[in-house]
Amino acid sequence: MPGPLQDLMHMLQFGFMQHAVLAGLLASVACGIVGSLVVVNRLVFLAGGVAHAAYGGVGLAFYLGLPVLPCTVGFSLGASMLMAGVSLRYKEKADTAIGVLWAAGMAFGIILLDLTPGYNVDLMSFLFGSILAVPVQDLWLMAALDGILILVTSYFYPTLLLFSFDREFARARGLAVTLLHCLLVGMTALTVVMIIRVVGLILVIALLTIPPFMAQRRARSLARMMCMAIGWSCVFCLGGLAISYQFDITSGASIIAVASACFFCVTGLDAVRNRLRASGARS
Amino acid sequence: MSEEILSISDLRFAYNGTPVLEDVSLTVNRGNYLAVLGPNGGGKTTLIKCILGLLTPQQGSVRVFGESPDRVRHRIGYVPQYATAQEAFPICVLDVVLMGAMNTASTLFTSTWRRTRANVEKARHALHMVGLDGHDQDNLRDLSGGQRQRVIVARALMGDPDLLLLDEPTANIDPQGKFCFYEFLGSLPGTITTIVVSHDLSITASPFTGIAIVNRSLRYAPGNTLNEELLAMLYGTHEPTCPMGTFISTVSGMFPAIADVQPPEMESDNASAGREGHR
Repeated sequence: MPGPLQDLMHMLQFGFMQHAVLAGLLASVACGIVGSLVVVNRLVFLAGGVAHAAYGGVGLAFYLGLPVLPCTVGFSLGASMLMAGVSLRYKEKADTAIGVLWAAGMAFGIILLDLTPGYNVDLMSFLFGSILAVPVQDLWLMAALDGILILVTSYFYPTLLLFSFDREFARARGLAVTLLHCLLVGMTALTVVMIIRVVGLILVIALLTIPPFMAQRRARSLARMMCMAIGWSCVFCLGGLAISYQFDITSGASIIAVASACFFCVTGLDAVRNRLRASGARS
Repeated sequence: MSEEILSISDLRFAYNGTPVLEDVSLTVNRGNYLAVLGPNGGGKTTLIKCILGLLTPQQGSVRVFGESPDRVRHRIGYVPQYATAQEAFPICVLDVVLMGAMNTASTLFTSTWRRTRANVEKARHALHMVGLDGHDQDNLRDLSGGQRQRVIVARALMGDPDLLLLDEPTANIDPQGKFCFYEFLGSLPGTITTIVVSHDLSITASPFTGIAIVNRSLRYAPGNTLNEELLAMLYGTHEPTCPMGTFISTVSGMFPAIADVQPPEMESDNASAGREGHR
């Protein structure tokens, strides 16, 4: 057996590594589905805002001594609906408003954690997560989230497709566009919060944007884009975990490094190919 | 054959108290091909949205097929502005056209959009009507701007519309393609009534049966003509020394027959004229 493969097998003997791999794969499914919708609807900034504002929910939970997950989910859903409402009502000012909520939510969380006696939550674990320390309970939670997302997306697929492709036309056909927008933003908020706990805020944003972007280049339908995004995302997670194990570096960061490297390689190759094709057409 | 498709009377619409449309009256009969021209911000899109029932005018009435617009919306084929803005969207041509078959009495939970064999047949036929045979499996992003716009028209045709409503359909098409596109609209079956909104004068080269200039008020002129008065409403009045003034007199000189004969409807400011011209 060649060296690297042996290392990989060795790596998978550890329980925490098996959990990390499973967490990565489960997060990939959620991020592939929601990320594709976020990317084609150009809601990346909104997703970032929701993810950061979620820290306000973490702070609130610790300050009031409430259970963290339900409190964060509630807080993020509230913040996301506020952003959704603002982005629908004041289209031109949407990015500013989201930026304000983004920063305000985060500052709110940090202040509340400062005021909480005796406990000091690590901001770094919120930003980068701890994929190597995922409890089994969280894996079940993520599997449930994946199940819900798959069900909702397949049930609403035609409407989501029409809505994402051409909102004006959807409205003219009598579709409940506002409701769909809220559904989409709500799904994004839920996904982001559930997965932040596991892989951290920055990895969530990376997995929400890079795999769908890679998938969009080739996909012939939104469904295929989702599947391809899930595939890319799994590749990034597994590759990143292997590298992080091999070289003993932070796992979240090495997953993002693998994704970014692929991103730049692919866009670079595309640019070169386009230039070659253009010069070929000219001659 | 002069079935009334659209009738608007004394319509007034204001955004936050600022009037966008005032005293607008218009009648369109079956088979007409109406060109609606006007400057940006003149109220063209607002008019379209009132016809679709997406906006409710503060005053006046809009009747489509003799009913209120939101009840007959499924009989209107709507081609929205910037429909092709989603350049990189992963979707094939056939799927775009099939979207037009979406169940119209839809709420979020009951809307259906099934890929039945009948729908696919119909979508292929709609693509044939817009001259895109054999492109059904192509990726939308691989088509040219003009072809893409035709796909959107084919999608509107899926609902068997009696009225086709196009908002700036040529915004993304090169000048050459524009003429072809307007010609194509003129070649649609005579049973379909077409209303095209544009701020682009190249539409005047196509075989429309009536023209309406919208700039807060609406002025209608039947026939395939564009005269100096209408151009002045479109671009404002200019001194002859101003390049725009020269342009206006030159363009209206290109339609000499019209410049001589003023249609009687033009006497009143907001003509709601019935018309004879059928395609």
